[in-house]
Amino acid sequence: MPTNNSDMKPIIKVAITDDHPLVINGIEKVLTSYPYFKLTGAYDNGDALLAGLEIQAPDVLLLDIQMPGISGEELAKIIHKTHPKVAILALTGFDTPVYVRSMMQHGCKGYLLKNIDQKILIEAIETVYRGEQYIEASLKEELINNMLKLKTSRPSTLPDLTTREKDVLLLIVEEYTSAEIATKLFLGKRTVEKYRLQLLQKLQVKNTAGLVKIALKMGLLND
Amino acid sequence: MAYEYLPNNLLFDRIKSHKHNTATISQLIALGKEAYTKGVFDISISYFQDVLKLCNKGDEDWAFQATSGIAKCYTIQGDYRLAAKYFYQAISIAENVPEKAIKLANNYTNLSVIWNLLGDRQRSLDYLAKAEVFAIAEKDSTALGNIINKRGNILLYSDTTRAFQQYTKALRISEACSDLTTTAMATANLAYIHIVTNNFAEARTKLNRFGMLYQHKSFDTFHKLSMQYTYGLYSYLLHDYNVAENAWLNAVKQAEAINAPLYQVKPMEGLSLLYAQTGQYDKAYYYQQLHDSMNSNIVNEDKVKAVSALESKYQLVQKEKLLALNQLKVAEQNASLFKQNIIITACVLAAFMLVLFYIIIRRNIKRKLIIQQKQALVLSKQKELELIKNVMAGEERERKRMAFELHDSIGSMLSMAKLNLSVVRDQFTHQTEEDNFSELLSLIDRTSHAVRSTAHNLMPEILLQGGLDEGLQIYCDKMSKAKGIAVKYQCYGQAINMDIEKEKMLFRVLQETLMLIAAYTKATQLSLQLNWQTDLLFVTIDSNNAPELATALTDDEIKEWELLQQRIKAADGILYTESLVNQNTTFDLEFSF
Repeated sequence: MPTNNSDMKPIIKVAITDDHPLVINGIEKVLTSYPYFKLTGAYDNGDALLAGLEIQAPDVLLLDIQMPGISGEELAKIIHKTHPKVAILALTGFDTPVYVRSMMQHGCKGYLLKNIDQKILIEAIETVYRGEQYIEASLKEELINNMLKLKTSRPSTLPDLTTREKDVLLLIVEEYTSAEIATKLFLGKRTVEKYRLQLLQKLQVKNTAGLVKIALKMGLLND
Repeated sequence: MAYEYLPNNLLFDRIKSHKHNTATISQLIALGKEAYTKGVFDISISYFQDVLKLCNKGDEDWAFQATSGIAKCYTIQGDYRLAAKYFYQAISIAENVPEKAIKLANNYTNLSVIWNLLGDRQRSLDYLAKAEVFAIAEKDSTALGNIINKRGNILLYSDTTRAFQQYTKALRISEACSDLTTTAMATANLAYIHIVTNNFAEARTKLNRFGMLYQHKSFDTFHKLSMQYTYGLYSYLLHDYNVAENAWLNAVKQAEAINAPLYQVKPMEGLSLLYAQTGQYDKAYYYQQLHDSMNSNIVNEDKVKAVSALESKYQLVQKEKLLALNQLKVAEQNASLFKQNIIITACVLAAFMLVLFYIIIRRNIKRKLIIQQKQALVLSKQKELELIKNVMAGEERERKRMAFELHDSIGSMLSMAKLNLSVVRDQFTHQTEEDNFSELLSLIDRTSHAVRSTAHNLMPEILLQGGLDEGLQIYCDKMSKAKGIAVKYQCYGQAINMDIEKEKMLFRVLQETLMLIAAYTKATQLSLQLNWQTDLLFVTIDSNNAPELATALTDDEIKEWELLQQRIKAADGILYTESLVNQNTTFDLEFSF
């Protein structure tokens, strides 16, 4: 941790908005140990923040998402419009991808979780100050995984069938009626009908012939 | 004896006891005419009167025949007043009968005979004039001949010349139309006029002709006997005593043969006169004795006949009375039976209706009770569901509060603790110290992560910001990381729009179900699949493990399942299948919207 600004880094004006004094104090304590960070304001709600920005706008704003009054998303939208030069860094406990996407879409430059260490905090502030986007590494990974999973949940390739679905499909292909399948698999007739519907939906076919076709494609009949 | 030609009593009774019937009326008319021909005039009258009782409107022809018949009977019996009465009645009836002209002609002729017998010759001639008009209008030569002949009879004692003219005219007409009866009568009458005018040769000629005529087969025995007597009489008047004797003796013999004393009496009287005239007094006396005796017998017989007829009538009336009484009794019994039947039927019907009403009312009451019970059951279940929903809502609020506490308060504290401690870490000089401190920071980090995760679990709004699908996907990922279970998530179909509260409820139910199944089956792999239909959501949860069948569920576990089922129900869902397939366990849920 540097004690002086001997590298002559530019002074980065930082403001903090969080409804928990503990968070403000904690971040303030970290930032003050760096000479090239200047804390220009600390606000515990959105109205105070907006009023404060009129007096002095920071370079980087650390913004909590969940606050009383105006939400973090709304504030990000307003500030991005009124003070476009302010780089907003979302600082929150919500690690769900939807929040990340939402804040980034509302003009945030970066997204940080509160349980970070000081290195990541400093790195994030410096990155967004430079005009770049910053998302914490673990969050980034989770976001990508989430996007991939959403894609695969609507497959263009053949989806996985459950064991029961495979059993029912095989018997349909063997020309068993729903009643016969129910008896064979010790299920209710309604359950079998439900599986039939699920198969049609899952495999994206219209009728029993389609199911047979898919079954052939899947190599089920060779089992 | 005299009544041998009468129908037997049975037939008589049967006919008498019938109702209005054309065949029966016709039969009665025939019987009346037969009795008239046989000379049993009381019986004839009785039959004709029965006909009159049976005749209705439309039976004028029958009524006319019967009335005329009665009148003729009274005429012969000498009751001219009654005869006239019935002839007048017949004339009034004749206005509505077919061939009324001829019938009127005949009746006027008969009335003229009555008036003649009553001594009113002018009235008699007047009625004959009326009869003549109808006979001429109908061109009925037979009737005309008869009318003119009768006019001759009326004029015979006042104007012989005109009488002769009438008889001659009648003879001409009757010969022209081959009316044997009027020809015979007119011939006899002319013979008589010739006798009284002392024209004996002509009288004999006419009488001889008459003698041949009356023996024609078309005349019945009685008519013949009557005319034979006349022949004998006129022969006697012409002093042809042998001819007269023969004629009267034959008449007596023939009358005796057919047992008709009435037709013996006059010839006997004639014979007595003849024998007295010819000096054969023993024969004259003999026949006189015979005549007197027979006459008194006839009178007695007539009396007996009358009494018998009266007796028959009386018996008939009694029988009719009895029959009527029986019929009345039968009618009364029938009426009584009918009344009884009506009462019984009414009682049975009333009883049946009562029973029916009772059954219907009872059924309605039962149905209402069942409906009320069902409604009460439904209400109680609804209340139960409401209660569960309220409990769930309460639990949700509490969870939310706890989630906020954890997230904002404890989470923030842990975050700041880590942040501040990370500053301190940089001050360590020794690697070991730095490593230990890093370990501490890592622990705080994990704690913070766990708190955050717990807060998210307690407050699913966080997860549901991107919708139920993304929320469940995130939850499954977190569960995989937290529990070390591979939770695979799939979603098919278009999600149904629902409000956030419903989404939360559904999320919560699926979350709990997943947790319970993971614990119950001790799964290492779980699969959660959602299939959205138009207004249904099918959820399939597969576990790669089956619970130990030998291990019974504890009370707490049973309670947990029961609670889960209630929550599923509160979310309009149903857990309706649990299947064990080899080593896998599949749970099917269905939610309706």
